[in-house]
Amino acid sequence: MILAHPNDNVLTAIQDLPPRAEIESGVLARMLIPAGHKVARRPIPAGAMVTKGGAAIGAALAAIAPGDLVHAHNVGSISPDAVTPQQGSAALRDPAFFDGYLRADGRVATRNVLGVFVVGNCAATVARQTADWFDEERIADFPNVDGVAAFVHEIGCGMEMTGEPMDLLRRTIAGFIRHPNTAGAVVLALGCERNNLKTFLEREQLALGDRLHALTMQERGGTLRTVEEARRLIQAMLPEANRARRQKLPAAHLSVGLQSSGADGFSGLSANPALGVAVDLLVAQGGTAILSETPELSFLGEGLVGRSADGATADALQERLVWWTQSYARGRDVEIDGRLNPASRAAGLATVREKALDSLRKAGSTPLRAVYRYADLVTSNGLVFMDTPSHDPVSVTGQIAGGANLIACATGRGAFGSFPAPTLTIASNSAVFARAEGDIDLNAGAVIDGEVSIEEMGLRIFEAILAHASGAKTRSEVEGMGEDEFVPWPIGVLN
Amino acid sequence: MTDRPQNPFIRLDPNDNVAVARRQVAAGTPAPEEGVTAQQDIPAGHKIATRFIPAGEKVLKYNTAIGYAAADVPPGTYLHSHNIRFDAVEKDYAFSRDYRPMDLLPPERRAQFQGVRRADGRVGTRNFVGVMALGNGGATVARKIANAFSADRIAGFPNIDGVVPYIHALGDGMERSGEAMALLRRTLGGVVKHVNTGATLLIAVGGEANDLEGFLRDQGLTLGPTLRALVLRESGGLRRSVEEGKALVAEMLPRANQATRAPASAEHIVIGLQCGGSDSFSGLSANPALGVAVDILTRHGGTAILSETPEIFGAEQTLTARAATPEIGRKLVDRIDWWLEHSKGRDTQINGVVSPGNNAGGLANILEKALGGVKKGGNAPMMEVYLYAEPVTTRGLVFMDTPGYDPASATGQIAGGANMIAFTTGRGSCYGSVPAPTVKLASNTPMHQRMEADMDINCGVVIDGEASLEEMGERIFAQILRHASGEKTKSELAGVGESEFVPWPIGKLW
Repeated sequence: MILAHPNDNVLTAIQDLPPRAEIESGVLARMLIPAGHKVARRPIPAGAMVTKGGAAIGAALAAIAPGDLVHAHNVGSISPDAVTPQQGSAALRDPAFFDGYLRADGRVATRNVLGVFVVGNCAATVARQTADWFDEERIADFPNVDGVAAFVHEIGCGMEMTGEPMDLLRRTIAGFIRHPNTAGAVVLALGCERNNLKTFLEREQLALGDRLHALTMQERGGTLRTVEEARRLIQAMLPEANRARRQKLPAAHLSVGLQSSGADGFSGLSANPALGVAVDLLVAQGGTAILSETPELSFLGEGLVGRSADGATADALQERLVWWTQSYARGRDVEIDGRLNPASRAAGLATVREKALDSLRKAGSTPLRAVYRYADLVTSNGLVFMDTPSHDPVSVTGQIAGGANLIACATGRGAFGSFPAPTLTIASNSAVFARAEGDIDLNAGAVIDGEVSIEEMGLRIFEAILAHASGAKTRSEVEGMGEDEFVPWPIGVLN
Repeated sequence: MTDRPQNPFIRLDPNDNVAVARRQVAAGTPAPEEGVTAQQDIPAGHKIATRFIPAGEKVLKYNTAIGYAAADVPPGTYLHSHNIRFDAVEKDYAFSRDYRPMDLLPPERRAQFQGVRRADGRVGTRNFVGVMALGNGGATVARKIANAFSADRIAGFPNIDGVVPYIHALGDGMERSGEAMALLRRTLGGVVKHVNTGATLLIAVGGEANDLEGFLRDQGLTLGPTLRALVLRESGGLRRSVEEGKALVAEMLPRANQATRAPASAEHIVIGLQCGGSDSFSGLSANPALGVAVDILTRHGGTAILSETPEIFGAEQTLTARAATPEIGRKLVDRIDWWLEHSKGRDTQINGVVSPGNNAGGLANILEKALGGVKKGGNAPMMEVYLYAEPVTTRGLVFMDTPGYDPASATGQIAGGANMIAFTTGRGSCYGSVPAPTVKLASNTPMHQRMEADMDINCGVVIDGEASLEEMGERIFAQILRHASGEKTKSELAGVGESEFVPWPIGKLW
């Protein structure tokens, strides 16, 4: 059993507990308590708060006796209020460093990738055939280049000609092109897309040159000729890209996008709080951590907004929460309607609020310094917020477009991968870690298993962030995951 | 119809009172075939009056009123937005008024092609094995599994055209019920059940919104020898999953390879009609020529699916008037109304006017532009109206509601059962598709020459005066039969089609 906070009135089962198993001295389970699920350790009167990790996750729908399963059937939602802040328990440490690439403009990269981009789906095949050509063998002579990747998406034409959907797509693609990890890029267009190549380059102030080329298929004579020319342009950029060298740089240059994936009943007790410790360490070093997944966190209301460092940040965050709940997702059968998705419920989470509280733990204990729109360039350091959906590939794509040079993902599911910034995955429990057979980088299940403290796990995560930022490949990189996970948020209406 | 090289004009229908200039025509140029002399300079793609049109009379192009003469128009007059009144055109749906049952050829006289015969009697045009991700979380594994079966790896299975991944951005982080999920499931299920699909391996992560069990139930699918599933949460890590998936596909290959080609009636051809990257010639050459081919195909008992609802807006009354029943016509109007609501406040074509580029190209108004697109469907009666990706079960010309956006539109048509796509383009689209191949028709010769490796058919010869629309339509029909019989299209040769699988993201991601 795990007691997340001494004042909690529930415990979380580490493994399946049969009826009459002793859960605490003198308290017996009154029914089967599945692993990852909660059990009452004290009587909870109807209407009283159910508290886990020191915060209320909901109200008891009926009187709950000690030993009862505490789950969606007997826990109801409560109106958002202030979240009990987490304690920043990790001690400040000596200045931390990693080996990164210092670009000419002063920005810092963790990888060194050449990218093939498309303004619209019509150039997708050309982009893939271009990038796929450069397999390990063909770039073997360029050991400092981490790969050539295609960034293909499903939109770019047949969409609204102006407005936020088009602006968002352009900032996302441009964010990847400008990303410090992108050493050079070829942008491909069919020629008649609504996301017009010339307008895209102008609006995003992208200047063509030795490191950025553009090709239009209708001018080049179609698919095969454009593939040939794009390959030639990439080939020509390889030697220069290969000149990049890593050097010792302060951890302040790291910008880590925070993610939760496949949350379960353990996430809030292991991977998320441990990642929160690492985030506190990173922030103390002057680095940046980007919290996102607005719909998932929206249930915290003031509990999230109250984390803002100043009024302007709070207002900006509030505006986003209102947009999500009152406009974008209104009337839709999505989790933002307050109904937890079946997978999360099956994994032991009782309410959307519990999931949100668990999720917020990965942000550590410092205040939110700024709020960014999806794919906006993140310029502030410290803990910041970027408005993204919860859907992993879409959220990560926005964070990387905003400049994240590493993604840290707490998962109860499995591996996740991304380019050109790699994803470090942290398992919430040992069973998930074992099942993934080495696809997950770190096992925070060790906290559940009682092998390490949350603080120690946080330190390990921080060390892993530095190591992977320095070039050690993450597991999902080794497995080649990340290209199909580039998904700019399709926010508009296709026509 | 006379289309000798010297005729500077294209006649689109014998009943029209206008013809369209193939090229810039100077004032004073005679057009003996039309019996008129140009009274003013007429830019390429613009219209000339071929007889006297009194003020208030219909201006007929494609035998359809595109407006009314604003004043008396003498023969030879340049006609454009300045002397064609559009606002007075009332939209008369005239449900089924012009419906005439199709003049079907008797079965023994119908054209044949070498089709892929299925055990259940259906006939396809290709035979693919698919690896389909139910949600984006299975994308990487699906691609790795499919990519492992390169051409030389499946050389021992000559009846299989390829192992292809079906990957998309949806399936998780989306609405769990309602049309968004129903549509995604119809689309994926439609490809699984497609006549060109020999076998499918489904990839689920486990726990996604589009869960495996729900998907199978919804689509009435049962796992079996040609439909297997791999749940990543259960199978272990990525490597083991990819290996397991490869083994499952390998197991299905012999059975998928059993499909062979045999002569079959053209009635088994279901062709999805598309246009993309249109130019001012599209409505004069490729689209009406494809319309002629569609008229031939439907007479031979085949099916053609017209789509791209936002782009036919303005000309829908030409379809409702030839709907087989008023109910079918009203279904189309309902979909148009849905689009108007869906697009409210959005900067999209359905809310707009003809773009300056289209106007300069000779299109006087949105009706004329829409007509140019609708002409791909020929003149056959409209037999049914379908939702996106709904199984097409009626023969003849049918309509499927899709966006105009090419990859999303063609994906819906294929999911609905199209076993070929005919795609007209003026600017030069490089679209391709699986498991149904795409045939591309160029609207003009210069583009065809520039992009020959992507274009299958040059309809620019109509503009050049080297073929009439009728002749062009017959050529297109003949070539469609060849491609349906297995001859690879240009996009297939170039390997285009896998990245163009785009189920319509109609809902909201969260």
